[in-house]
Amino acid sequence: MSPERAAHRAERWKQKRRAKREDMHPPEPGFLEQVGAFVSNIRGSVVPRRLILTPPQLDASGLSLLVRELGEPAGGLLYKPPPLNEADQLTSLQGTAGIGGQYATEGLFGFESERYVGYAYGRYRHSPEERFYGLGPNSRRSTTSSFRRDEGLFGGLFGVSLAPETLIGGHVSYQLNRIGTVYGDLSDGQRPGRMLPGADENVDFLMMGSFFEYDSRDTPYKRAFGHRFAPTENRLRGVSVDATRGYYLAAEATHNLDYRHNDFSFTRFTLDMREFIPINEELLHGFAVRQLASVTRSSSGQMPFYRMTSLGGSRSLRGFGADRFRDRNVALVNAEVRCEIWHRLDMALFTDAGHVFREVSGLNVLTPRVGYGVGFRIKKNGQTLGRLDIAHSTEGLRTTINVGSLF
Amino acid sequence: MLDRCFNRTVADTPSPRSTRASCAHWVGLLLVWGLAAGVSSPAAAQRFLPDDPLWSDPDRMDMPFPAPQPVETVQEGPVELLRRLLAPPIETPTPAANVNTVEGVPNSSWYTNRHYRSPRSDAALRRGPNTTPDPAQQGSWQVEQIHDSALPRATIRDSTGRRFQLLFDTETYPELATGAAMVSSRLLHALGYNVPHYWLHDLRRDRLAPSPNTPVTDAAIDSLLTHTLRTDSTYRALVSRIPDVERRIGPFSFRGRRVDDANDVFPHEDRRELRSLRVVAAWLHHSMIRRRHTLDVGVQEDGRRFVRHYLTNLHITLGSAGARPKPRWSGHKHVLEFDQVLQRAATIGLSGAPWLETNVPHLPGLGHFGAIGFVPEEWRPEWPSPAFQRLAPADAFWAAKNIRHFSRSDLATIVETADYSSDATETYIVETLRRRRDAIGRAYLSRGGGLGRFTVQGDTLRFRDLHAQYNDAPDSLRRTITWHVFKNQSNELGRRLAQSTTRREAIPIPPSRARFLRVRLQSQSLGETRVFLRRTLPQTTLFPPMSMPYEVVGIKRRGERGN
Repeated sequence: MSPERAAHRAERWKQKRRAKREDMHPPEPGFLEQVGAFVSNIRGSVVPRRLILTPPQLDASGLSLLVRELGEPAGGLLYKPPPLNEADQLTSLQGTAGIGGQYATEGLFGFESERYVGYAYGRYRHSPEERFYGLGPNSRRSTTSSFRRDEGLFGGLFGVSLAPETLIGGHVSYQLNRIGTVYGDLSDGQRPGRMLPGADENVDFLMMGSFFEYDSRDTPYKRAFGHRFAPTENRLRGVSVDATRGYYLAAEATHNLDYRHNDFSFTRFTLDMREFIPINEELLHGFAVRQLASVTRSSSGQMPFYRMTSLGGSRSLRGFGADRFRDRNVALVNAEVRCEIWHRLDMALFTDAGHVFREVSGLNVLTPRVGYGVGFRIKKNGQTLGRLDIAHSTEGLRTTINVGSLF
Repeated sequence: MLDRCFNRTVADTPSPRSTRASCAHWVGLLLVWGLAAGVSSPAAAQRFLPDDPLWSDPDRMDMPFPAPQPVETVQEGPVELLRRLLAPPIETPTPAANVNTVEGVPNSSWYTNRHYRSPRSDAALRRGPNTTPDPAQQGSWQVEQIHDSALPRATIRDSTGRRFQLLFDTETYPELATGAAMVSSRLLHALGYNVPHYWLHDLRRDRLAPSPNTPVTDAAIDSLLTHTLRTDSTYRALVSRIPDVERRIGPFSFRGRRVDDANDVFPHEDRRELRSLRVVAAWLHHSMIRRRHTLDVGVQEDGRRFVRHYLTNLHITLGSAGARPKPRWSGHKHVLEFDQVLQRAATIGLSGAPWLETNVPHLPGLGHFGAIGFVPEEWRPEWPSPAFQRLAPADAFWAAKNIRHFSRSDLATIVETADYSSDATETYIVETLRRRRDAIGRAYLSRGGGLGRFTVQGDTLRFRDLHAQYNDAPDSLRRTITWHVFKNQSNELGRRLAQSTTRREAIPIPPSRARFLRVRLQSQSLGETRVFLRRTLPQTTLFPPMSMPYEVVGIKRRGERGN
């Protein structure tokens, strides 16, 4: 009897089930479902300039895939041995290589408690072609050069929280620098290997630094190992795009002792201040501004050109290329008006103004390099996963894409 | 008239041979009666079957359990979001498939009629789904697993060997997740859904011990409990358990049917209780509802194995997103709505987010849950659900009358179980639930005139004007009442018996020998409700006497526009 012919409703519904039982089969996920399941099972996290992906197959091993920036996009492996990565300690090893021939390795071992943070670090980086446009604020984009650089670094850092929002500490490191072949069309005076300091000899530094930090932002940096003041990271970080209110102040002094010749010893002082002010919380608007000054002092009046602070790129002057301006001293102001246009997307209108100069007396605040533009930042749970900035300057329009919060 | 007798005879006999034998003497009579009455419609047109209205769906037949599946093999939400962006939602959804003839939902492995059909006592509301004992107080609770999640969670086994889940609030938002789970589990259970059993316990540290032969250590338990200690040295813990689980299968989908479960014959997007869950979710602000917050489990009852379908993770209801309050946009839009994004981008964020104006007071344990700006029709889950998108007015009416049935006292009784430390929080949540309940009533309860609870008492058809009762609308609707004989076999109207107008909630049934009657209650502006009556006959009565009472066998509501 077909289900439609049954006389009672319950019997009709039963017959549908009996009929289905005769035609049952286990579910077979399609290709898209399998892809979706694979992707959704990958655990991902973002730390500044690094995207860490952990497929379930690697989860127990402590291995993860790593995507980061080494001048060019690079990928590799991150290893965190599970027994050495409990809540208050971390050990990690990573190796990455980029499409431009650059590669890097890095190791960290440390601990963190309520009050103390400390870690030891080691790093080696190889850059076959670092860009160099010349020194000073008037260098020209059309005359570029490049040089090979190998850098080794190892050392340790220790910090103490005197109060919940403050950290004070110091670090000691040893840095080896090896500069190689130079290509390009700079004039002799601006060309590495001729008159530029540090270009024709290998310089090793013993670096000793101290720092003070006050951080009252609503989304402060996690005290992530290796991402604070030790020279394992780029000194010139950006203004956090995660924070919406609060203040950040960092003062740092690092003496670089030329261990071999003492010709290039120098001391760098950096002051970094950032303010995050909600303009209208109801409309999810905020204002962010960063002022940074970095000056160097050296008894000989010289320092290697590749250790000079540079401006340009996504962390400083967004309308200019990376490391576009380079000199001993730097002054920089960034300002942004931000608004949330989607709960996972912020939009910002920004302007940057910066200046590099050899002597403090040469600082000309009236003629800074200026860029302005619009940025979009993808966020999740208050953390920035990636950002796109479109900036305009006297050198044209530049678009940059980055992983994580650079500011 | 003979249909019921004939059908009953066929249905109750074990074989075609005996069917033919027992009905042989009726066949001639049927033919004569049919010819005399001029009835030529086939039996397939018959509207009501003898066991209508069906109140128990036979979907708990003995069937093999489906194989366990991963938590979420398919990201249903993104697929639905893409589908919604590419194609507009359907404008005239089809009727729900699993409803009975009085527009009700039969009891099933998905749903059980509870508070609306038989009002529950305060004690029953307070107890909610908990039909099994909570963890034994004798002996320690052995922690078998500590879960890696935003909220502190663990799996324990008590001294009787039963397994439970433990969940704690975060230090920043105490009582938020645990309170939401207690309130929502009791409301959803009273509404008829299957939910886990939930208990609140004040734990002391020495109650928990690492389970032998597991990697759990005392230090790990201490770490689990960090930041959740209260001033009286106890930990507020939410204990949950799904009872009688023979096999944990995995989440159910809001679209299609399980191909590996023979009991599952109605497409999920056409199940009324799943469609109507949109209205229920709006009430409870369960905007994070999606496939991963459901669970199918294999159970065994009276020797029958079947799948039971649960709503889980209820700690993300009300103002809670688990470890933190829900964001303000939640409930106001899907995770991605391009028009709003473009509007905010074009105006530098000065417009395009009306939900920003929905502020709630800062109360402990509340999160973001309020009634200001709550428009039930505009409320949206974070991820589109195929079942929710097929919500028809009849589904919404059904949900609204169930929700509107909760009195303020019922709500207060249930919210009390969350044991909020702040009286202000408790009062605010009760009031918010009440106001959201009222908004749902105003939005959906007017369909077909807003009439419900039809019963026959003697020679009178009684009903309740839910729209007038719940929406504070004065009963000023003059209804036109039209009685007809109804020919069930051919699903056609017979002669008109009477017509009148009235505002009363009791109307006399006109005298008739007809087996089926149909009355149409038509209001000027709210549509109409058609009620079908059938005489409650002994099955062998061929010519029923007029004294035999009627019963309600069918209800059909039509909105103002005929939908």
